[in-house]
Amino acid sequence: MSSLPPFEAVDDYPDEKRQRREDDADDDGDERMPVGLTLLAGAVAATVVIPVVWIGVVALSVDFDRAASIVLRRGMLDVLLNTVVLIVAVTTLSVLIAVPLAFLTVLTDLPFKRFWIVALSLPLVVPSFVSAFSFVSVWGPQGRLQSVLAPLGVDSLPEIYGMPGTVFVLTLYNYPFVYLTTIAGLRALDKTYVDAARSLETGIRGVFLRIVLPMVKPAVAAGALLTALETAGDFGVPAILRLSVFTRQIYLEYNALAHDYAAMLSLHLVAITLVILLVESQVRSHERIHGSARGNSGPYTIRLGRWRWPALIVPAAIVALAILVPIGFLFSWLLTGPDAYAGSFGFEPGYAINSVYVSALAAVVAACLALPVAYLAARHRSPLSGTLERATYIGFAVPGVVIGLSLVYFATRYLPAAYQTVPLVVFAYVVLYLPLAVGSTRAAILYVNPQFVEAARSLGNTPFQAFRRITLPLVFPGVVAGAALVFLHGMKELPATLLLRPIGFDTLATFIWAAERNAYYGYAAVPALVLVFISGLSILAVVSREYPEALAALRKWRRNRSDATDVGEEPSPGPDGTGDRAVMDGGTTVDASRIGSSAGSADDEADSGEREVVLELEDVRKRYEGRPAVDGISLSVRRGEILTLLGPSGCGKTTTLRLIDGLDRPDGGTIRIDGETLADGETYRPAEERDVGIVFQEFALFPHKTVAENVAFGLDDDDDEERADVVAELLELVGLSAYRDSYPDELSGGQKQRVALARSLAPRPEVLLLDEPLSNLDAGLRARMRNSVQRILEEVDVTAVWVTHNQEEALSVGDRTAVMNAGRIEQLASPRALYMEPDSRMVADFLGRGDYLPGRLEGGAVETPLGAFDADRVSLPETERAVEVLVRPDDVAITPSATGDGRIVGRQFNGETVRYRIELEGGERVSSRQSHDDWYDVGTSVDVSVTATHALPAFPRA
Amino acid sequence: MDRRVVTRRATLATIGGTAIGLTAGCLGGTDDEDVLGDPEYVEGRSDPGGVSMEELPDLSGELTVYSGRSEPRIGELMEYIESEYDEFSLEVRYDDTADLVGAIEAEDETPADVFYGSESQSMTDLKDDGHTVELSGDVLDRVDEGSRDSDGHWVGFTRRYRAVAYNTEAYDADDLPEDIFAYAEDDRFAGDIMWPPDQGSTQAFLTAMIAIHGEDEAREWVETLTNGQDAEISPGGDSGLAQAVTDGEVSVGLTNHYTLADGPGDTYDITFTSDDAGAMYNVTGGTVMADSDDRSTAEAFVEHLVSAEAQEYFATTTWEYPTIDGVDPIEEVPGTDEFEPPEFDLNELADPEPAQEILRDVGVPF
Repeated sequence: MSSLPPFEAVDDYPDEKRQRREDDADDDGDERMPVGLTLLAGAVAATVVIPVVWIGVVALSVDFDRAASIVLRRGMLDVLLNTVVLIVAVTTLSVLIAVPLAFLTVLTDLPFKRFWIVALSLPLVVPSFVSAFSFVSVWGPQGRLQSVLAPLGVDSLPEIYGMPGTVFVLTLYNYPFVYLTTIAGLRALDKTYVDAARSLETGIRGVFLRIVLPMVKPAVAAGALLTALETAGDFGVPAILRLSVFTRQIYLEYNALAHDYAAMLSLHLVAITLVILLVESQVRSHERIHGSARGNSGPYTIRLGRWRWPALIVPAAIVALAILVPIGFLFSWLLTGPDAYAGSFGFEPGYAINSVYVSALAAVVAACLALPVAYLAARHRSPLSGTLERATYIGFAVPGVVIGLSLVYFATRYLPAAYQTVPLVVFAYVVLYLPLAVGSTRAAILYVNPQFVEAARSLGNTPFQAFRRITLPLVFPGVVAGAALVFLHGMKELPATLLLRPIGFDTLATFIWAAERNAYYGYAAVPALVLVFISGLSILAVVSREYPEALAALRKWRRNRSDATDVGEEPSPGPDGTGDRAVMDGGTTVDASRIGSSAGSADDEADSGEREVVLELEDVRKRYEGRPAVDGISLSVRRGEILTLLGPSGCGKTTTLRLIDGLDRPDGGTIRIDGETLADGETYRPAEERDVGIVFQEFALFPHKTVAENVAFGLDDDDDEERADVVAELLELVGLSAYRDSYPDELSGGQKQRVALARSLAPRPEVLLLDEPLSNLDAGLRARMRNSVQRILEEVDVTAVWVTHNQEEALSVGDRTAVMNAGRIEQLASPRALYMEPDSRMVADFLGRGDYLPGRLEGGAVETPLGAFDADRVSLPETERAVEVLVRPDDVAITPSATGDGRIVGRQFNGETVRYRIELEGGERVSSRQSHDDWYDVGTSVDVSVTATHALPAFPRA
Repeated sequence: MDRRVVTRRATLATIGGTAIGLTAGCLGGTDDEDVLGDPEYVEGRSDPGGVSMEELPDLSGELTVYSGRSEPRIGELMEYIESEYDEFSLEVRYDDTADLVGAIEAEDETPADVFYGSESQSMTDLKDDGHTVELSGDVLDRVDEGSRDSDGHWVGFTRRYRAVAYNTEAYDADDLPEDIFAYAEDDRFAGDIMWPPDQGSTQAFLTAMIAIHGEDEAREWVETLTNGQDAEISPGGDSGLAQAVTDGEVSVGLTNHYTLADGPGDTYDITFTSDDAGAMYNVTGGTVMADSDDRSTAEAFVEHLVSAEAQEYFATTTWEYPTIDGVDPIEEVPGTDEFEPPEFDLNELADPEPAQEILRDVGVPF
């Protein structure tokens, strides 16, 4: 299934160009850093940071001597050390557990994979006041485990209290952060890379270490960040397991009613948080996690073989420890029942509703607030956007009481009406858990290829419309997953809830707290089980985006909703290339208005010369990071003409295309279409305001829309019927009528290519741009598609600029071809003229093979090792006498002859032709292309002659 | 004013009645026989002395109470008082004591009219920061001198004593020393004694020990208890300790007397030391907030909690010791004539730092 033929890899994936192009997607930020969005994200960040800033203000009010005595007192170094060791140990162990588990449950054929994905995420829903409590009860001295094991001669279990126990429990309940982000990263992994790697690497281990691991590293880092911050800010587990960490000290001061000192100690936690964020930002830099825009590759599965069933032991053991122990513990409470009568105290279902209500509100608000921050951070990377994003993480590591007190302070002063109301509780949750939504949303946005947005804008959508129609639907599952994480944390939240809730407003957590604090454990069992159950449901929302089945069901539902007559034409997607080969040959009738004047379509250069200029570039320039990418390009394209832009990687041809399309803004020069200036020193019309369509190299079909919806995307919404007609007509034109309800990932490469073409043509652009439209197709298909696309372009008589690095493609489809090099046009002429009369060695070399023979102009003839040519058979540079004459293999004829002036030294069979390498008497070498019938052995002596009827290009001798 | 005119007896019955009604309605509480607030205890007792609620001024308007005591303990009483007056509504914010004090200090102007503390330190702290006002002499004089603020800002509703819990199969009460220092020295308790040093009440007890016996003695006591007796640390505060003693995991534990009320089991009982820090007490109590816009009602509410009915409620439901004359502690706990509490000022408990310093020095995790 590999679509990466190794020998063509360099050609097909011009790394330099790709890298630059992806970079400039980010550089857009510098160019047009969206002010509104930045302000919005800034406001969100400020809102959630203000409560943290208050901590600093309060901390300033403490008595310095006492503060110093707290900070410097004996044991504080241990506290710091404990905190750091705890964070490092829990984070490291979480990664070590979560990453292999993610590989196991995503990439292998482990039985019941989906069950395990849910089960392994579940520890996240267990509140620490249940988990740590149950572990002490089960594992602690005289605990249940001890009493079970005692008859077996086990006198004592390893100590649950202290560092080992705390690391153990926190790892068990925080590894799912890493697990969830890693499975998301693995799902998004372009598996063709894994396949390619496997063909090059020996052993699965090498593939993991060198390919998969580096690619999921950003996802792992994002999860590790959350684990580290959660560990830093966790109070419950270290308190119950008696480990002296910063949170414990904070609570100690807090319970001693010294809130200012608690605030001061919280600042240490904020400092630790900043260090963690800094470390993570180092790991995260340079990430590129979005997949290609070509659509999904097939599933990838590693067979476990005889380890398939034994491998279950690992996830089963972890689930048993993390889930069954506390659940079993809760059930034991339940069976014991309420142990004492507690007056008016009793569980009411309303508490569960309260919990769900507040948490759901917080989830929705957090999801909405996260969007601008996440979008800015993902799409407009800059120090500012990174800072805004990370600012939202600070609240996550600060204990809930400190945030709660801070909000008490602000609310009672500036918004008294909000104090002790649900909105304030919701806001507290947002401050505490916003990073969960930001992280998930940001990752989702990163997975959306920016080309989708560019495609949408080229189809006439403003950036906001493109966001609403393309980005938002695509990131929605990620947004929901983030919201679900906020939700389940809200369900567990206690300290801020206690401080801010309306009087009499009980949640599951506050009720469990009240029960536990009075040792009424029997009362706590039911609400704790309800809490775990409801939060468990939300885990389904977190992992559901990892379900292809959910997607398939949604599609089926959508298809059933759509026109019933299409059901019979349900596509049966086959592997690349099948099913669409013959389609293009069938005659199609297309509305004449869309086709335009078909008379001139196949005409020669002379005809296009008469038609008016549509597109005009004058001295257009563009620099990236100080280096010129396009360095003063001027060209004009006439109506109906296909101009090909040809050049090596990084020559600026794609940049030129983006400038024409309006995706990038030129630094100088003028771009006109139909005489109207689209860009010059003053004006700049963005892509959506230009009558230009673009077909991307990777097609950039919207993955959440059907073929018909893709094609209809750029059409105005005025008339449904008319739109349907246009879509039907275009699909017929490209031979894909049967696939109108298919989704892009159900299509072959060639089909996707044609859908992309139809989509770009639908709004009837004045100019169509094609960026390497065939380079993602395999070799055989490419040749066929070249003809198909050329035919379609001619049929609709669109003016087109076609970028390619393949000279054969450029010469065969272009009415005229511009050869570009280093940001400039070397030569712009008809393909034949370029080939036969190159202006420069660069053009000559780029367009085909050839050998340079030294020549000297002597008395009206050019002397070469192949003999003398009349001066008029050589296109001589004006002033030079010492030249080099270009001789192409097809200009050279050979005939075997015992007295020949050359000798065959090499032979390459190419199918239709054979290429011979001939050494001349003087040691110079030339090539000759012969029919496959002419078969000579190496060493054969031959007569060499030049058969070309055109003037041979000659250049000054180097 | 259409307040119901009822006899003292009937009022108590109403409390009992409330209990039964709620019992039937709440989860799992179907057994009326051995529940807290069981009216049987009320009936078996002599009529409470002191001032009845009936004799107190009516409550009207709205009051907000910040309560560090939890709803399971006092919710019933709060509902009862509110239901007694038609023109009166009561909002009780149940929260952690530290949360409430923190909130009051962060609040621009606290909505609380009354602060109801589960110990005296929080009330002293609020007083010291100027958040409270002095109560009238009438209210203060209701309770005994040892249960109220010497500055008159707060008044105790109940006394909670430190106690020695023991497993009845291991010891009789008579076998146990009446001297708290003996528990750190007596070989019988080596490896067989437990305490919860992370509890605020334990630290308050240590603070009292420092106040009463001096810092050196307190430090030595913690050292010998920890290193000499190898005292165990409770896995879960007072309730974890109660469980451990009941199960015989340890024979003796240093805890609070009211743990008995939660009925840990037949093998669990308590006894007191005498005339030393081991028998120190703390009070739950109330104070009126300076920010209250209705201080007189707030004070009247506080007064209701030192009424005969409220004191009887505490004695019979939470098994705490009344702070007024005329109401006896429940018979299950040692009578006040059986031991001698130490004399000290409760305000001295407010600073836990010296006690924590000792724990830190000795290396006791808390």
